[in-house]
Amino acid sequence: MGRGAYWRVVGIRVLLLVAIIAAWELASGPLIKPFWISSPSRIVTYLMTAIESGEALRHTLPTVQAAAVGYAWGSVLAVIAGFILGRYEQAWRVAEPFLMAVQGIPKIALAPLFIIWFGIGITSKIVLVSLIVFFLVFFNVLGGVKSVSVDLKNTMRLLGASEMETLRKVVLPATLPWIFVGLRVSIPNAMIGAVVGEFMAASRGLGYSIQLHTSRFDITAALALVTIIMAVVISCTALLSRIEGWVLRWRPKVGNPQGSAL
Amino acid sequence: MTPSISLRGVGRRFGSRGSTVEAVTGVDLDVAPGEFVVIVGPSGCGKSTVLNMVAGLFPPTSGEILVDGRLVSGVNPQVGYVTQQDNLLPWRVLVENVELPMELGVRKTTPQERRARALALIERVGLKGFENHYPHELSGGMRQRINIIRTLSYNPQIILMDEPFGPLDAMTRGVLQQELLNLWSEQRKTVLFITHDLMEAIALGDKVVVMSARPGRVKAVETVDIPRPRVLSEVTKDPRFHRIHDRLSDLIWQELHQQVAGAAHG
Repeated sequence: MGRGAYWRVVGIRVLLLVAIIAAWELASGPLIKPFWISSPSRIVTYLMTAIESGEALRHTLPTVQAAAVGYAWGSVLAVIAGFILGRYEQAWRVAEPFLMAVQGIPKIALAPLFIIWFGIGITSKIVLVSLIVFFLVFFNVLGGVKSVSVDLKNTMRLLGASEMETLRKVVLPATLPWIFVGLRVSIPNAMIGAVVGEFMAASRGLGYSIQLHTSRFDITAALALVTIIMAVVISCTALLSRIEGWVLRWRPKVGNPQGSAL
Repeated sequence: MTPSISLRGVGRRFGSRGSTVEAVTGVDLDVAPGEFVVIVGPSGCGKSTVLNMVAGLFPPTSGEILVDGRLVSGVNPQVGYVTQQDNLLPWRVLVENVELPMELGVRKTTPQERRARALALIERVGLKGFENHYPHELSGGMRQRINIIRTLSYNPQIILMDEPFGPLDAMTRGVLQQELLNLWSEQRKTVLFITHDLMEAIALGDKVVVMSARPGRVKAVETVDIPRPRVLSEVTKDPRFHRIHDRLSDLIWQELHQQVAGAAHG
């Protein structure tokens, strides 16, 4: 895709966004009562007030904190587990049915249990997010470790590399693209975990706040908070894309030359 | 003088649970220090098996292999191995790929030392200016040059080469063959080279070893008396080249006929 085509795509995107917002704004009132769908202008007004009063930040921080800490734990443990189980075939064979069984559980279903076990504080949300992220990253890392080129590993052997050297210089870099796939899908899922955890029981946080406002039929506030979640996910994904682009700069540029939309 | 590489009655069987394949059998071969020996034979004759055993990737099932008078038991990092595929690390630019062997614990060097060596070698094979390119940005011939100098970078006295020019087009192959001849004349390392291309074998080698069809045996050893340094375009015009070529190609054809006949009856 050339430069012209790229800007055309961007242009159409912007037009589409404006059209959706305009349609929403115009429909709200004459067609559908604002009570049901609020309106973009109401949401923006609400957001401005909430940001100014510090209310928005007060609820965003604990959610982002739970999501970020859980994300870090989940992905670090997944990378370690993926490398160990990718390396020791026997260990993987033993662990496989157990991991598959846990993988099969919709993790969200465990949220109420985690509240009982770990309390209504941030710990229960962190555990939930870690578990979700772990499985998303782990299977990617495992796939990556197992698919490292045998020729490259043999080359390292012939050059006299130790196992640690092969791990550092071949297995890790070869697995990085797979790790990033896991990290990318984990971002929205980490937010889901944190928000759902807060739905169950919390005294602060975006999930808590959405729950509260919805129970009062304050659609404007609820949608404003959803907008915050969306903004957090989009910016984190954009940041990760930047990091990925830099770390994996050795990869041939194929497919989508304009880069990711985010 | 102790041969650099010595194979005595080497055989190798593959497979398990009743169905075994005998890849090579009874191979005797000596390679003197500084000698360039080329093994040529039809595909599937076990040439690569021989090379992999010399490298220590797996042991022979019969006989023994000595490198510098010592029994081979496992991979020997003093021996260089140039593979058919370039096997460069795609996440490293060229200069970093050449530096790789010198970074390893078995032969640790300082970063300045290995950078200087790598750059000198890259310049030597005419790739100056490409130091900071990734492998995927280069042609197959360029990548194979890097593969070769990566092996030369740590100065092994014995180099094994498994059809290093196999995947290249004819023109690039000619250029790289000449470069290899030049490099070899400067450094005089012991080389055990494998190919299925008889012309290449005679042009490069001091000695050409013809292997039979599976199970691979040494069918003939021919000394190439064409003087060095050799220039590829001249070598192929040399009457000695043609004499050797005719004799050996007859042998190889016989092998191929037997193989085809064997396949038809078996």
